[in-house]
Amino acid sequence: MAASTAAVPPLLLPSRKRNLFPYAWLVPALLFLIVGILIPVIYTVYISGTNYDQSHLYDFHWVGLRNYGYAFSTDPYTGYMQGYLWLFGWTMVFATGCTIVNICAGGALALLVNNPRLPGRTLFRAFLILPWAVPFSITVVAWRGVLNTDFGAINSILSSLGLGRPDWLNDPNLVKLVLIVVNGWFSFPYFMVLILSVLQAIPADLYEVAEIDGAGAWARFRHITIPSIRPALAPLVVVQFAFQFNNAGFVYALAGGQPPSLDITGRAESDILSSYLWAQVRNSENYAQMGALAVLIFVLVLAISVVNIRLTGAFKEVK
Amino acid sequence: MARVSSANTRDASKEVMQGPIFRSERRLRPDQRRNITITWVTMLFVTLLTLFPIFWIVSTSLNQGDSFATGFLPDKYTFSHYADVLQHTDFLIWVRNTLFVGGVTGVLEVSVIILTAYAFSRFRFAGRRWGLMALLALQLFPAVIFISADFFVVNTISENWFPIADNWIGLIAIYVGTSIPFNTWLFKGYIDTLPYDLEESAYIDGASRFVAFWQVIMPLCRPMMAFIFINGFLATANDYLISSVIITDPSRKTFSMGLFDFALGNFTTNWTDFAAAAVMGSVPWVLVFLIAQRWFVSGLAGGAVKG
Repeated sequence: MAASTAAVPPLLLPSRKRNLFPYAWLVPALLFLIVGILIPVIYTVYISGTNYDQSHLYDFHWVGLRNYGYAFSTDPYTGYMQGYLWLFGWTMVFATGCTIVNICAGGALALLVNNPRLPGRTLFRAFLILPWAVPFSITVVAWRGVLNTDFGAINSILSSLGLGRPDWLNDPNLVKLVLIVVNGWFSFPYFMVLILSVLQAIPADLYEVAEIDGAGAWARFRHITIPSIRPALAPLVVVQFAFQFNNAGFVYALAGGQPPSLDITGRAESDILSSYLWAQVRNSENYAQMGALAVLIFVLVLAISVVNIRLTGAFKEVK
Repeated sequence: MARVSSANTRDASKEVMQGPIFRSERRLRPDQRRNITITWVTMLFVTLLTLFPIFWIVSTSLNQGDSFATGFLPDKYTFSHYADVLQHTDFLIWVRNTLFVGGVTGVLEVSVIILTAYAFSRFRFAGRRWGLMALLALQLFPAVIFISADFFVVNTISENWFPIADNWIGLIAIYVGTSIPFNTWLFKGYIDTLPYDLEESAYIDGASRFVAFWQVIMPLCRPMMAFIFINGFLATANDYLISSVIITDPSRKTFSMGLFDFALGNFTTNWTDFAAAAVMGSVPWVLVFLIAQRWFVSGLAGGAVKG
């Protein structure tokens, strides 16, 4: 079999006999995708049309689109619309803010570390990668300690300077700022490392020639560095936005579902859509309504990502 | 600090000799010297800020009592929290569970994803483009938003057929399944960059497709395999959202579930015990990561550039 195809690149011309051969390689992945994604997706859609919740764990039944009706209703007792709009607004701000902060911080540090004349650049690089290397579950709890209102290190410093003790994690506005900034701490090393390796692939001659031609530092950055890293960055931006849009693990672990808001049941001011969904499932067993919310998040992420892909021109070269 | 800076200068001089970006000027003009100084001070400041929370954990783990140090350093040093954690908590059970679940997840991810990525990179078949687009769409949806359904499925199966709650099989299947879309893209991009000639010469020597894959492609993919294993392990070890819905039995808790119980579970956070557990849990891991990362970063960048 192999001998007959040896001379032609066998990847391009699977013979008639081997038509099913490529699919065989995909079978294991398909099995895991079915169990890990497809079945949960189907059941999410199914549950969103039932009244499966805390009080109907065994005797739930089909209710049609009622949960979606609640989601878009502003009725003070059953409606979720008002709370969902706040959640959506903050989710967009959070995802946008994190994407910008993470990529800019990572990119800026990559540029600084990339300077071959910088003394100790390998040491800086090794230290700066630590937020990525130390398990998230540890450092996120450490951040809760550092930000603690009464005993946290940040407030110890601030109060000794006479600046008071801000309630970082319980103030509805401060907690949002803290989430974006601390998210930057967690994510910049990944982007620093990635952008650094892209920067190192730019031929040094380009800069040399540009400098001889009289291009200043800004012009070299603008016309050589940016165009060189742009193709690699575009998909990262799209993926990063979608990731942060649903980064419930980070939001819930850092803010812990605080501070409470007053509009819909269980919404915290820090919550993004997915962390609200998770907390409602975990703490209130509000399955059916959250199934409907999951479907709405699904649609939102897909729509936003299509827009992002268009805007950034990522994944154009799918081949 | 003095030792650090002397090592730095050695480093720098070595690199300058090897070939700076601007080969035409080996000696620094005064304005360049000033720029370097500013950069160096900025980097030092950023690095110290970055390391602070990590420093804080170590410092807290050595502090007496169960709350953290009021200043930067422990008021009184003690190692008793380390002994405490080992003797009075399920720390070792968490570590064992995490090694098992994370290890199995990582190995499964690597073996499933390399096959899929190879097929998408090297074969042309009907539905290939659609498959790639479907993976691109699927990777936008993390497992967390399907948590209702996960709970429902686990509950229904346990209720009607056999007990699956507290079972790791379902958890591992969710981890592996949700990791496939993004990693397949990354890995496919990486295999795309490998020259085809190498495989071709294997075919000319009479190797079958699978032998060529095993003996030619696999060895070249080691950096990417390392990255996917480490990422899969890390994601499993860090996951709290999914595992805490499926796993309730304390003897099946993983490391992050145990740690979050310290921090989120109740009102009396035992910070020093948490910190001691954190240090013990992360030191071996960080060493592995730092050694491996130099190696997988090149592969990661290769895959990412291709998109």
